Amino acid sequence: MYIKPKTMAWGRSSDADVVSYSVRWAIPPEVINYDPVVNPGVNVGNVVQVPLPLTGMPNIDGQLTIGIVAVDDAGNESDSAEGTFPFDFQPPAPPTNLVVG
Amino acid sequence: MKNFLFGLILSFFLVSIVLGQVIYDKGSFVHFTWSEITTDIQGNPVTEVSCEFKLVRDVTGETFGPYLTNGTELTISRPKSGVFVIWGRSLRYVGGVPIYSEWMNSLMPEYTRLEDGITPGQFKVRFKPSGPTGPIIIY
Repeated sequence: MYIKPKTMAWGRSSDADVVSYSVRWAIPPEVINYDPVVNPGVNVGNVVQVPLPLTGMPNIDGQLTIGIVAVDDAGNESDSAEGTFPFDFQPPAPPTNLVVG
Repeated sequence: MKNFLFGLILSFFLVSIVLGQVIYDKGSFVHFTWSEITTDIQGNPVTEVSCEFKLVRDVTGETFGPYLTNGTELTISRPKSGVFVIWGRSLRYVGGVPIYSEWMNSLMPEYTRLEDGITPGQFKVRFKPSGPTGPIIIY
């Protein structure tokens, strides 16, 4: 199964202590749970763009709310940057009625 | 010497509770106050008492300060992101030599008060990291 990736980009935090970014998501109307114990998110490292979908993201064809927080060297998280976007991570059905003549 | 700082009162805003400790989220600075110190540990009157404070960062143990003042309030600008314990002690000069009290800190309820200014409690101050900037772009 191949899902054509998209790229998600954001601006870097102004804090020099930030060592990584964490990405979380939810399918609307659910909201993102930012509790790091309940929902630690995906640590994508100290980058400002990542290919989507990330590991664990649902293979949806619809809206997905994504939240990004900066994480400092002591593990503290910033407030989030958040947006809701349309995605189509659903692959088409495989070919059917395959016949060898 | 502990009683030297007894009655320290600190007032802050925005509260969340973690493991019985109150975390006060702050923006670009933290402001706090304390009671005027008018006696030494034996109850004798003293004057011209100064206080110094420092911030000690959780996890890394980094220390910022000391910040010295002759008053009973202090504003400290955000030194960096993180969760901090506030440490404080008083001092006065005797014969030109500084004499210090023992250190107290914001996790010692016998020296602290929560936001209401009455309830003894343990607290820390949190400066969140700056968040990602700009809009999230998908392409």
